[in-house]
Amino acid sequence: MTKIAVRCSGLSKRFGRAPAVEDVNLEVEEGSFLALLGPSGCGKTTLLRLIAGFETPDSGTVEVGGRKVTGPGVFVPPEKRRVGIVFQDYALFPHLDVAANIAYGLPRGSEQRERVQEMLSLVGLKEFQSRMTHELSGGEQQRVALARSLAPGPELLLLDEPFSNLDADLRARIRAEVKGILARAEATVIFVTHDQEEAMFIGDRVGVMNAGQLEQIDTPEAIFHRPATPFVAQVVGIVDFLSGKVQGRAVATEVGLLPLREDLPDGGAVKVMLRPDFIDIRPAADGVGVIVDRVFQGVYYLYSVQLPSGAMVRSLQHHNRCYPINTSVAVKMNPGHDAVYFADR
Amino acid sequence: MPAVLIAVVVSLPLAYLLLRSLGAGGETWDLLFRSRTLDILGRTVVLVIAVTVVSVAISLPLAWLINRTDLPFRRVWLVLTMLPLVIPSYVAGLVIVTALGPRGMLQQVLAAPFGVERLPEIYGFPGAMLAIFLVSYPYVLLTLHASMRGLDPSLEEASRSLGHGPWDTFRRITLPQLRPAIAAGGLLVALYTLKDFGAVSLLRYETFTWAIYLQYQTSFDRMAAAALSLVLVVVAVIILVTEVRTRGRSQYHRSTVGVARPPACTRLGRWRWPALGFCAMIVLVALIMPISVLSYWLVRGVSAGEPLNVVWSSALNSGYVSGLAAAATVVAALPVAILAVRYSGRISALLERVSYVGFALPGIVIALALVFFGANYATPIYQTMGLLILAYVIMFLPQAVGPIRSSLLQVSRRVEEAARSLGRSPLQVLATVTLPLVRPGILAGAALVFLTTMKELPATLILSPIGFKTLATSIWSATSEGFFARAAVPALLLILVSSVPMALLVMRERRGQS
Repeated sequence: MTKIAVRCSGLSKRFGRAPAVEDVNLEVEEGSFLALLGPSGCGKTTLLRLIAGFETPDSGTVEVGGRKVTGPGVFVPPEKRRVGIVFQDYALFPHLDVAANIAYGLPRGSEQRERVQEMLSLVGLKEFQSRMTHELSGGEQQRVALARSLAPGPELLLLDEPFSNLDADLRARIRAEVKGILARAEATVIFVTHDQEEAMFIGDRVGVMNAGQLEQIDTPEAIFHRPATPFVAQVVGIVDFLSGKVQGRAVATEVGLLPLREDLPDGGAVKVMLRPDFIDIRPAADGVGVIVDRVFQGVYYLYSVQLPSGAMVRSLQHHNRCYPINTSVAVKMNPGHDAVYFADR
Repeated sequence: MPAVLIAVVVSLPLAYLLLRSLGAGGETWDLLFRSRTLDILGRTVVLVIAVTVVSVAISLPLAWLINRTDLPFRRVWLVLTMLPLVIPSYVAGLVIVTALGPRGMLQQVLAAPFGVERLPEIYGFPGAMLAIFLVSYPYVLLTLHASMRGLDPSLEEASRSLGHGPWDTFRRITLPQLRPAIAAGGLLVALYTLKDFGAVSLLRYETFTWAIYLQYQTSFDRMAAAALSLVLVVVAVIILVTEVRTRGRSQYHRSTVGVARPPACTRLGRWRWPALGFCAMIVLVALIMPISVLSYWLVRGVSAGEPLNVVWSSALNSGYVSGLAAAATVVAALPVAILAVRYSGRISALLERVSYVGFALPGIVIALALVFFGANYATPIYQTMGLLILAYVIMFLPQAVGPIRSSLLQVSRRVEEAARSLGRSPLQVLATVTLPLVRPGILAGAALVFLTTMKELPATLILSPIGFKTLATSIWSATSEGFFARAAVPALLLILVSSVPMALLVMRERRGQS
């Protein structure tokens, strides 16, 4: 059985009146990566700081490596938690060189040198060890921050938006590098981001947060294909919603009958989630929709189609299908995709 | 906890004043409203306003020439015009008396060719104003330099593109942006003038500080001295409030992000020569005149067989006491600054305000309060170095809190948290991360306190242990007895020693620029 590296139960924190984190429950298995995804202000950074011990919760408990570090009557200070953290701005010590930054969390002695060398080769910065941190590029600074927090061998490593300070073209490469380093270090990681692509790339599992609550925590595939709430659906990719009505094993919508596999009460109103690749359009004089916008994305065109009720759906078409705006189109669902239904209140 | 203790100690003098004034009988209150007191008040206010206005009027063109034009040797002028800050006001007073007095050196120079028998009287208002202006205008210059360098050039360019000429743009865009700097610099000059003791007493212009000293020296009338002090404090508080009001509510910041562009540079053309003349005149009067007058007295003194050996012990004492004061003040300032920056809240804001008491309380008032406190409640430290250092700490705490605070603001909280997460306790983080990072602020604060302690006169006079002479008290006693030659050596030494921390500060400023 795999060990649980960190467990939060019923964790809540308010700042004044506004709840920042509300009743969050999560577990991360040793050696696995959890990505916390959500828009800015959703409480993901506060959750991270609660786990690290920089904030005290109003209620709930945090366990790290099977030891309760936060709970009723218990508060272990950050320096005794064995929880490493890499900040958005890296927070390197500007008065120390690279090697001294990495050595900072290690006990003094002969093993310190060895461990620093080990970390330097892990992150591939051996030749930079006596540089000052401001002489390094953003990506190099980040690797120093990683090495520094990994050096003492923490039970858990927290990363707070670690790629947001990097240029877009660097980001993809460094993301892969960091994932490699963390995997080699066999670290347990909680990683905070507002970029869904990043979350899906790094996370073994992804937790989606909204207004302080953890709305869903699951594998990237499950989050994408079976979102638990409309909010989760929106966070991971482009979606459109149409209203529909359950009719036996199908749902009636403006774009026709869509297959239904779940059991939903007959006649009930539902919200149907569609992604652009679910929808096919063909020019037809008597079609239900009208193209109102077309965005060229290289391989694909992304069309916005207005339906009679005023609702919009988007459709992804190969670049050889170029239709002018105002074309009337027939709209249908591509086979092999499952629309997701939410009860409509 | 240490910050609370410091706040309590710092507010001691204020408590003493209130206690004394409340305990004062009816006669003392009568004294306050006598016409003589009103005279003193009037004279003080006139002096404060005159010095402040003249300082701003001279510093504004000076700062503009140095920062925004192609004036030759701008760096040299920058340093030379700042240097008078190291000259104590009583030395400036002494120089003015001997050089510009009715039968002073200037008169003797003019006597032969022009037959000038007598120059107009220099004692009183003209002398006091000139002396204090010459040593305090760099405060305005300093804040203006910083502010002019931080101006966003695109604002002026926007104004020009909207059809306003250079003069209109200066008046409507640049000047309003400089207002906070003018107010801050003006505040420093106004408080300096209000608190000044050396120049006004040498030049016999009776303001509050001198009146309080006389009251204390001649009659030992503590109540009357305390009551006069209280009026002085009220004036200081009014000045502080005025400054906050003038600063205005608008926020001043760059409207663009990214690397700062150097502001546009005005070509002086043939105006270059009058501009150079203006700068040269300021340096001549504020820097070259004092040093040459002192050197003249030194040469005369040495040729008359004046002994030099006494001075060395005073110099050592000055350095020793200033060093101690700098160290003690920095140690006291650290918790106040850390509390204000890291744990902002009502209590820490209050504590920080309290630490600014030293800004409002003139040295003479603090000294008298500590005499009372020491004589009544702390006899073991009365007449000791400890009490003197305590006075310096109370007076100069704001000067150390300021730079430490701004250094601390530049240290990201994340850096400290990163250190915590790496297994260090809060105290270890303070020692291994925070303190090394705020070292520039600590050094600047210490240099500033060292510099001002060297010059400080009233508290040193009143609180020094018996027989303890510093450069400042040596100059004072020699001058007040009329032995100008004897004052020259300590005065020159004082200027020389003070130039070291001053150079440190100017160099730091230059590095911050690049």
